[in-house]
Amino acid sequence: MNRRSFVMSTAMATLTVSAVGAREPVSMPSLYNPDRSFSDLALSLAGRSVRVDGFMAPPLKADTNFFVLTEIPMAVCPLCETSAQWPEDILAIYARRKLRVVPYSWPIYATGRLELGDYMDTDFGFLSRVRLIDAKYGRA
Amino acid sequence: MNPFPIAWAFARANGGTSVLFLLLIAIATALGIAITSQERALREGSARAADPFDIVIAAPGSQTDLLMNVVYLRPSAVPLVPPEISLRILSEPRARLVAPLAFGDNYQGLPIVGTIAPLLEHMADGIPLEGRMFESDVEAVLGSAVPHPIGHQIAVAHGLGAINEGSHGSITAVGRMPPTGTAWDRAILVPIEFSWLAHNLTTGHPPGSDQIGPPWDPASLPGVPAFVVVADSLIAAYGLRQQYRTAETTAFFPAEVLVELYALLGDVRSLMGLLSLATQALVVAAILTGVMALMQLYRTRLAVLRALGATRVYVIAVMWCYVMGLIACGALLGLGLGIGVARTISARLAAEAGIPISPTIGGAELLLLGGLLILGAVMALIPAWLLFRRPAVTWLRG
Amino acid sequence: MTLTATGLGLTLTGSGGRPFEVLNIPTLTAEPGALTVLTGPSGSGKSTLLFALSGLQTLDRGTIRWGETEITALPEPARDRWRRGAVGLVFQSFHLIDELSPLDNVLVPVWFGAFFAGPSRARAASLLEELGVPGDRPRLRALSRGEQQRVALARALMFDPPIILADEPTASLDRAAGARVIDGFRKLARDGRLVLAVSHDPDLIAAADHVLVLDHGQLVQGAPA
Repeated sequence: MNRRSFVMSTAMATLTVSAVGAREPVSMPSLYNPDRSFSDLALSLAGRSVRVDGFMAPPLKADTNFFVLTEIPMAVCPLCETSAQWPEDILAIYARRKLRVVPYSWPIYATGRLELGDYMDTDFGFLSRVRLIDAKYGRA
Repeated sequence: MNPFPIAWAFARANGGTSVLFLLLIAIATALGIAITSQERALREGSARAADPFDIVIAAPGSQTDLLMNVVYLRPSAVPLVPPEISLRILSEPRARLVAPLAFGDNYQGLPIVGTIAPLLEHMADGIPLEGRMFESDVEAVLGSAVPHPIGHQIAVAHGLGAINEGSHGSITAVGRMPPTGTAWDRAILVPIEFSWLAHNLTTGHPPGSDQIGPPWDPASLPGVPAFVVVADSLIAAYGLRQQYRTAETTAFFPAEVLVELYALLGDVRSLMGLLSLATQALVVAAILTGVMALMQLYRTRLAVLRALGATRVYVIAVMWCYVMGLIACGALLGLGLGIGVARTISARLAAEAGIPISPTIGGAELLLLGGLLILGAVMALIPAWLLFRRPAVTWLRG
Repeated sequence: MTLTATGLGLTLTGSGGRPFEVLNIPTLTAEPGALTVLTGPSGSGKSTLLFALSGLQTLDRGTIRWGETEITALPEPARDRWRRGAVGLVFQSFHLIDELSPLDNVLVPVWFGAFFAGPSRARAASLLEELGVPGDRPRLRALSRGEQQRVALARALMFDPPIILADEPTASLDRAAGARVIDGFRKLARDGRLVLAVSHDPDLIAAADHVLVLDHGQLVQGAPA
């Protein structure tokens, strides 16, 4: 990381931390460094309540409180579907209540406690890297 | 103070009215409870039935048809995934498990599913089989709900008639799966090599080989109706879903189709919700009118209590205990009745759908019951309040 | 102790919006040890006066005292407790609870204050015996009307009140049963209780120590000089 971007990300982290109360959304790519490690911003926000905007992905499990938030909508358009590279930036959301599916093309927000690190969900048998716990979500 | 003997005497004084009032509350409560618990049981049951099948990959076609085929074992004709693509799917590095499936055969109405042992182990989820896993293409494992013993000889039928009289006409049950809560509990599970062979296809292994399961021989692999894939991470799951949505294959999460079906059923559900709301309103109205009628019946008796030296608080307590007793007994009776109704409906639905559907009493029902009791507790104060709008002596004359 | 009423007044709005005087009694006293009958045409305010003296009916003005206690100044719950302990009320139509046994009917006022009526059972039973109510009938309806009125009297006497107030106590009884009730009232008065009955019954009026006549809410006879 060069000096400038370090200063920038530190400043951003400070800013975002202070703006958490104001529900300033955190963008999904900003949680990672280019080498896919967690960014300083992500590390500074771990354990805190954050808001992330995105789209609901088609659910992996029915009738649970779990879903995946993606930066761009999981394409429902037949033209983009085959060519679109599946983004690596996804966020596992564990909602407080059972999932109410919203159309996958609606922009939504999710607010919850940010959790970092590999976690194996034994109920679903899935490994996730980043999660929002106790989350609420709704149309952005 | 002790309002109970008087309240009990009041209840007996108008026994018929009291019982009618109680039954009205019970029936309305039962309706609400049956509807909410039934609806949830249906959702939970269908979701549980889809649970072991993370991703389904098949030849392009209706995802709902595929879901019915794979998850609920309601066979319909599906095109095969060609061998060269099947091979690519079977060697997918991001998957923890790729299981080819073949379905469409049955034995006395029980579906026969051809697959590989690791999928059954995945479905058993760590619980050991009774007996053992199939080890050759003339052996089968029974679903937990199949009404045949281990050791049973199974003559396979395809569609309308028996097939392949001769070498592969009959297989032997060697094991039984633990209950999985899926439609597969009613299925007979065989090595997929058996299904291929039964349809005069190659077996994925060189001719004359007795091997079952992977690794597969690229030259001998036939087409495959569908695959169940278990991914090793969230990203892999979404990646695989995306990667196999191509011109040759379709890939989907059974859950996403189920969720769509739930949404399709949403109209029915909201109708049910409306119905349940209407019954709640009915209960409220029933309690209110009942309470008004009761107040007319009891006002002289209550005024006499006041004349004999009872405080307002005591008279309120008598009326409250009485009305609350009716509501509480009605609500409890309704809870039992509701569970009974939901169980009966569920048993019939489960037999139809072939998946276990078991209604339970959950938060929603307790909330409903609690809400009713709280509402009742407040409304039980109304008759006493109405009574005290006029002096007690009004009711003592004449 | 004396029951004293001064300046009692109650005016209601009658038909046509005209004020209608229900009760207007400058003074009234009643002494213990005497049976007083309050009579007069119907609608003259007798029952209103009776219920006012029991503290159940509130008036526009006036004070009612029992000895040193100013009943009209008590807050309602205290007035209810006073009525429970000091006043026994008897009604024309008994106002018993049919679903309770005669004994339990006598125990009703006990439940106003206590959860368990057990300790009072013996007293209730002896009251019924004293009044000649057969104690072996579990159901109230098995009793004659005269016996039912005596159950009501036993209920009024549960806490041994110094005041007995009765509203037409003999009106729904035949003459023989009425006579037993009148005897009971005379005995209660001789024992030193203040017994005040609203009645048209000539037998009861004849047995009275004092007769008060009420008309249009005013005492027209028997008012203290």
